[in-house]
Amino acid sequence: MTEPLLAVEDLTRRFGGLTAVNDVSCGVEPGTILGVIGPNGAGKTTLLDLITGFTRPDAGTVRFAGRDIGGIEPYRLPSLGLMRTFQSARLVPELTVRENVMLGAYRFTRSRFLSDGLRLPVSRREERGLAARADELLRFLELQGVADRIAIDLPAGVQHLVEVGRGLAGGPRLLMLDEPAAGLDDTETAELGEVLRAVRTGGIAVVLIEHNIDLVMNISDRVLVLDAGVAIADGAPERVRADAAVIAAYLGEEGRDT
Amino acid sequence: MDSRSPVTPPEGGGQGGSRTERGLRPALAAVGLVVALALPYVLPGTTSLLVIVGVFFLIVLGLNLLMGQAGQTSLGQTLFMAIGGYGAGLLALKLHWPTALAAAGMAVVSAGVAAVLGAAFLRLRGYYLALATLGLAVITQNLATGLGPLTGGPSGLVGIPSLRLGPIVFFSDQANYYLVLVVCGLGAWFVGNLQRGQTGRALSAIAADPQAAAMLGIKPSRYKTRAFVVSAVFASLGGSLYAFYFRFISPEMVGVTVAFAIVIMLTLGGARTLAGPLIGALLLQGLPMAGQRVALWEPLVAGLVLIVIVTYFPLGIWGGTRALIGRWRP
Amino acid sequence: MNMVDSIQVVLGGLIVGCVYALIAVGMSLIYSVSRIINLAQGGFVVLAALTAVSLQQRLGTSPFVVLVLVVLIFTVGLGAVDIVVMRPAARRATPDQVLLVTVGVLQTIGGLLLLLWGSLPYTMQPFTGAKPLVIGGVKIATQYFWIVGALALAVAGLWFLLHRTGLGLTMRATAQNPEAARLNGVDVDRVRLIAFGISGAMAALAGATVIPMTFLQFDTVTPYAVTGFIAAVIGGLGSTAGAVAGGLLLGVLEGVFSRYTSSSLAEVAAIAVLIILLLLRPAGLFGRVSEVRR
Repeated sequence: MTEPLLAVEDLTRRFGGLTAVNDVSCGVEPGTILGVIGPNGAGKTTLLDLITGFTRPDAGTVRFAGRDIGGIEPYRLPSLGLMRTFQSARLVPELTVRENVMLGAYRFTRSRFLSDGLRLPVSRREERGLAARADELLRFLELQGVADRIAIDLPAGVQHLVEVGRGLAGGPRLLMLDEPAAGLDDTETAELGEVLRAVRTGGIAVVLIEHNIDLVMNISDRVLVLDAGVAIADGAPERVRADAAVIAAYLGEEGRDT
Repeated sequence: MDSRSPVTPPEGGGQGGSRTERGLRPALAAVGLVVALALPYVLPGTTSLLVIVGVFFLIVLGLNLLMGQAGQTSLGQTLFMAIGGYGAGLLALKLHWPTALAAAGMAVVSAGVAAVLGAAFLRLRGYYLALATLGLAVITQNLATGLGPLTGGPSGLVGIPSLRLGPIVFFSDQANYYLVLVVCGLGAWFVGNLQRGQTGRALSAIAADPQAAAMLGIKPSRYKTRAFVVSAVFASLGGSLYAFYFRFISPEMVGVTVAFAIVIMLTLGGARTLAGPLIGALLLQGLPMAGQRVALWEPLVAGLVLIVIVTYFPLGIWGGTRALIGRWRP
Repeated sequence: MNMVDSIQVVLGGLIVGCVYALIAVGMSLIYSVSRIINLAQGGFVVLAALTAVSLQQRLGTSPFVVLVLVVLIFTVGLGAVDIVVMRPAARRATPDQVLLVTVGVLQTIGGLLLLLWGSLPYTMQPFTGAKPLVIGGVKIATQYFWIVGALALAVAGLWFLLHRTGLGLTMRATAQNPEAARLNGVDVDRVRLIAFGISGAMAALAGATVIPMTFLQFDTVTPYAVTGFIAAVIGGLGSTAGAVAGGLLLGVLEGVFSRYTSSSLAEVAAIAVLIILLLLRPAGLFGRVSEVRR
């Protein structure tokens, strides 16, 4: 059996007396969506932080595309093909939507201080390419109407979509999304689902952290349920939905509150 | 899906940037250029002042990139002014280097010093960086004073030659004005290009949120160091021009007060723009020229202005004006 | 350099160090309750010194009356600076920007000095006679006792306030964690106001006692501000004992260095020490918490 694109094994992280992530293992294959659900404080974001090198694990390994990325500096991840978004969209405040998405393709640009400052041909060519690519992605996300707006002036839900666009601009093999549907209404959430399906069809793996259970159950190939840092279920959506432990810990009580 | 596949790297076509601003910018630049060219004839008495304003505009432009764009406060730009001023002055005076070569050489030295210092300093958090660079400013003034045999001590380095480019000697106020104008024009063009390009966006991202920037593949420490290097080169060239114009440089000209003044100019005019540094340099350098009485008030007014601007108008004069205009637009 | 000379140099350094210590203690106190680095602290020392000179000239009263007056003026004055300048700044601006605001205050002090006292240096008669004590060949100016006394008074007073009064308990709680203190109903603005007032009194004590030993004018504000800050960092910002030790250490180092080189180069050495310390041991020699680096 070959190793999955992302392989997390026995990952543990403690903060003081609290074990935020406790011995969690999971894997993601190319062209599949892994949904991660769990109550607030279950360790979902910490899991993302551990995978992307923002937090160091106390134990366990993270392998991506066959290499150990434990303790890697985050800035090296995009060039390996791993992009992520944040729970509170962290866009660059004074840039427009298009410019934010252009920045997402940073890893493809070769132009730096000198070539940008002198407007060398390489810089101009790249600039055109970045803008075209950003516009293409914005059309894909149906955001072309707000391309020239300052990103943080837009509603939180739209900012999350822009962040998804920024992530896609980096041409990832794995896209990790932290609650992208927060702030979206039902129609927009359905559209986000379509977008993610299309992304999956493009061969990109997705890790989707979400509170919106319906979205997760609808589009995920696999669902991981965290509760108090422990993986209490991991499998196909319909199996997880039926899992007694999940219902007891999560779906029954808090499933509909966000 | 193929036609809109998100995995293909970027390639050709398309347009970036707001279209109205794109059309306006060359027109504004052209008007500015005509005014700048005519100024020595319209206001002949102010040419000397304008040379100094230009020198500081250049230095503030460089700081704009570091402080305005990348969000890293430096109170120590006088170190690089001193390297450019004293260094190029000494090379030309003592070793008879061609003046332009001396200025260029010292710009390279400044870049090297900034690269080394940047790698060490930029790990420091916000205000500790500001304080470490303030330390640099104090060291600069004290070294200029204390290394008497080399720098001429408190009374300064005298007898520096004028700048010479081939057959042209930049001796008169007017000649120096046009020289500074060209250098500033090139500097503004460079910084403007940077700010509008991917590098400027990357710097903004770092200033706003280093972690999120890193998740886009940007290495914050590298960018901050490079912005520091560019700012150092600008300050070094400014220092060299300053010394060649006055044919003299003294510890006061690279003193801590000047280091503060540079930051005040940027804050006053407004960071992240090109006009902001110009307005800041004009106001702060122009004020003392309005007469002896006013000159005495200058440090006090500069201090108060810094307090008020930072507290109540963080965008500065030009930035604030632009924000107001932007609000009126539909 | 013989024994007596060495002792003389160290003693002189210690005295200068007392002034640095007073600046550092004030800075450290403000930092601990508000996380603001008040770079202007050293500037207030020079302002206080020249105010003392002018009061002495105008009133012709005993230096002790002058000392008391200056302490009162600066206690109230720094309270006013807090309300008018620091409070709005701390509310609206980032820590970086607040630091710039204190740079603005420092610049304003320099400007005020230039405007009101001109660019000439000032000094004052010693409090108790110009004739120094001589012990074993070492000259001890009587003013030294007043400077040491000022520092001792300031530190003892601060210790008493912090450890023997209810207000001090509140201040210490605020210093532990300003945000948590605020959430627990502590009026953090009031605590900071009091800290500024106390630091004003310390600046006044330092300025009024040191001016008979030296010459001060508008452009000495920056050296005092920077050196005082270095002392506070060496000691570890937030620690009173550290600030005192840092100030004394720095004074002695500077005294010894300037014996061999010029005073400018001595200051270069002192600041080089600061920068290296910031890079290698950000918590200072006595501090515990490291929060300097990213």
